[in-house]
Amino acid sequence: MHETLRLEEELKKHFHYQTFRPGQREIIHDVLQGESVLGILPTGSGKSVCYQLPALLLEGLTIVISPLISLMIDQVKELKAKNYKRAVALNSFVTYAERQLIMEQLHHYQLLYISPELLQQDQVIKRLSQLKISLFVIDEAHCISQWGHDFRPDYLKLGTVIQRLNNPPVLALSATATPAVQADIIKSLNRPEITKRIYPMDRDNLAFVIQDVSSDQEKLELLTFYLKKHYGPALIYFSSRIQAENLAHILSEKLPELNVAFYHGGMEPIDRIQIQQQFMNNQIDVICCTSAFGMGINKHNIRLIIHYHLPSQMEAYIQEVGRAGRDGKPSICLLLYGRYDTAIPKSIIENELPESGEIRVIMQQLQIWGEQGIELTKETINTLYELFQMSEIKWRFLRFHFEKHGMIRGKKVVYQAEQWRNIYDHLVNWIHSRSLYKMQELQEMVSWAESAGCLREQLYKKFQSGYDTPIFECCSNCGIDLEQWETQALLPSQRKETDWRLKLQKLLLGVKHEAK
Amino acid sequence: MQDAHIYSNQAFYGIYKGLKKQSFDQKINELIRAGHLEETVDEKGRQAVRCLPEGEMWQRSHQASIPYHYFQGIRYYDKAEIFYNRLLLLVQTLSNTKEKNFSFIPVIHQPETERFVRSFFKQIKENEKGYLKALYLELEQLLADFQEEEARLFVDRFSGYQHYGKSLDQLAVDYKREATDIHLLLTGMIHMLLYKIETAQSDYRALFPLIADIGQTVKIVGSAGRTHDLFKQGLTPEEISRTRNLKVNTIYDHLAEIALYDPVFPFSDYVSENDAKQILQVIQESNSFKLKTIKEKLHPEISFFQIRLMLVFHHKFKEGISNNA
Repeated sequence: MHETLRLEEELKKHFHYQTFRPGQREIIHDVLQGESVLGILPTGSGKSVCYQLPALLLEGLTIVISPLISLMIDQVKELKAKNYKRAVALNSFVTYAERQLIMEQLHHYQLLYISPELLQQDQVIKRLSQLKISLFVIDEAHCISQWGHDFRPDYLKLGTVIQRLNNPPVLALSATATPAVQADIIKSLNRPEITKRIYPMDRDNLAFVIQDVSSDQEKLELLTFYLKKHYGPALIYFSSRIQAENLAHILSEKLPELNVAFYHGGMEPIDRIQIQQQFMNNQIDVICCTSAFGMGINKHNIRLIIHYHLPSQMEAYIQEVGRAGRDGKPSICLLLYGRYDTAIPKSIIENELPESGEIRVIMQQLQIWGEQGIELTKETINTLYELFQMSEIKWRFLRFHFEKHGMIRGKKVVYQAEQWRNIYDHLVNWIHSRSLYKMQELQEMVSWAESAGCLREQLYKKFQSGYDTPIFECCSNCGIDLEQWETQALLPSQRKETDWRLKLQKLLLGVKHEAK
Repeated sequence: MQDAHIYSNQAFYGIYKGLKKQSFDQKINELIRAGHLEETVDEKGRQAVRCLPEGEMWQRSHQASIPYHYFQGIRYYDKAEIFYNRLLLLVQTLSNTKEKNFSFIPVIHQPETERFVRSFFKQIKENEKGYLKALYLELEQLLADFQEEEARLFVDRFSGYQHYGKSLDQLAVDYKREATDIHLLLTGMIHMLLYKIETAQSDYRALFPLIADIGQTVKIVGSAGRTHDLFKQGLTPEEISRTRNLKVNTIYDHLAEIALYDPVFPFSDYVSENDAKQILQVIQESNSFKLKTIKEKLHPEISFFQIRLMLVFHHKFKEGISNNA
């Protein structure tokens, strides 16, 4: 009891929240006791507090592994804005000189966000092992399972890193992890005795609607219908950047009363921040975006999340719709489903991993280099990209496997005819089974979209048994009455200042000068 | 291209660093298809394009959306970005701190820029109000020299207290232009601002400190330094020679040194574009830096001083020029 009160005090003091959300106190309590914890909490339930608060209370450094650089940067910025100063992020965007400076000063920090790639560097591990690591956090831990296999091989090496850091307590956090993925995480971390804190992920204020469409024209009509009828901050997710841009332009023209913008990973950093913050600041009503938008966005009153394209797996869908209604008020998750849409995710799955032909030519090239004693340097790897039109992602994937099987040692290529043949067969099989697995995941998504049963029940059944009674409507298959959906009134739009002098005055001199 | 427009090409050096080759090629192909450009080969047999009369007309009719004369790429290709980032972050910071709001999401997240603004803020904190007023007046005065719409667009990009500025794409929609043109226009405006601030430093006490430390040139000392001071006041070499009671040739020596270190040295005031073209060609062909060898191959009216200036020019900008070709 005493400790509970103390934790609430600390929560108020540092984060200005009055009470813990479900699961937070339990996880923080365990972590403070030095236990390793696997925490599965629904999206929007404040996972980050589970390590940000302990980092302040524990002696030493808390390390957080985070999959997305933008997510790290956002979190550190938000913390600094809250006066949580002893936090820092290390990733490939930080220049070499900056990195050295941070590394030197590391003992002054309480919280370090770092990318799994950087954590592989010997110099980094050496420096970290000199310090007392109070807690090792893996945020979005499902990446260990989901992405680690293909694109982020460094995620799979985290278990070794933890050992080298003298086995600090581990906290693995995720919002979407099926029991199979949970087992995968525990195995990768080699912590069979980990304390499991698993909370149901269903959200009783979300209503699920699927609309069958047969053309993009129909999608556009539905978009305008929903956006016109139901005002509220809204996100529209797309699988393609170009389509997100195009639809943002079309919707701006069709709905001049709304402020519509787009957001994707191809934009300049400053534009990404400005758009994101305009949305937070209610300067924008609707954002057409790709999956790059949203992680770490903490806007509480998003009322509507539309998927223009079918996501490729349930986990991704649950993450994305989880950004709606964090204030607990009724919100709608709408999927515009056209059967013709499955072609896009299918081709993504087919093209993201190297094909057998590609693997063969790369191995032939490496064999030549191995025999001639040519080392793998930046230049030679660049020739690989150019010769075979290979993406960096594919090469990273192959390199990880080549290293794992001893075909590459450091910069050297080690050629052994028979062994290489076996590895080739093994790789081709393995890729085949990965693609198959992903096609199954896509198929699950398709079955859900086409099912006649309760959408809520089927969405969550892979993760848990049962769900809370929805507070508003359930889903389009159970029957839904959108007339009942309480919509917010349109915010009085900010007066558009056309005089640049007045606008500049307001910015630099404040409002009181405006009248002069 | 490279030989024909020595001075004008310099102006466009590095003004769109993020431009992808793919987008560039696409744009060129569009212009060819529209009959504005024509494919050809240059004298060395390299692929090139030639501007057709229709293209020149098209260019003139689009002049308003990108004022070419704003650009001074070779001078500012590095400085422009640093200055603009600092300005954006400083305006956002001060706009918030004047309202006693110390928690906001900075729009620029580069450690160097953040560090600069943080330390700059400490320096002006004592007199924040006075600084803001000066900053406003300087920006107001500088922006007033632009077209009304340009000034508006420039201000729309600023973020501040409870307000986040527009993205390039939003500006493109608001002002019915292409996003690439918005990028270029803003870059051009920044070059213009930098030029005005640098050439009248004492008039811009609020803005000049934002660039004072960038690419700091070697301080020109001694006699050449005194010549530099007079030169900055706008005196001609002859006038400086009279004022300082020194031979004109000595002043020329000083100016050649100044030209090497002064990032805004006006080469074109001393060597016409046509002469510059000829001198540079001889420098390149003869592959010699001997004044006499070069002079013998040129028109007798071209002076040693002009050749020296072009040698300095060649030394300073050869990278820029060849990259531009």
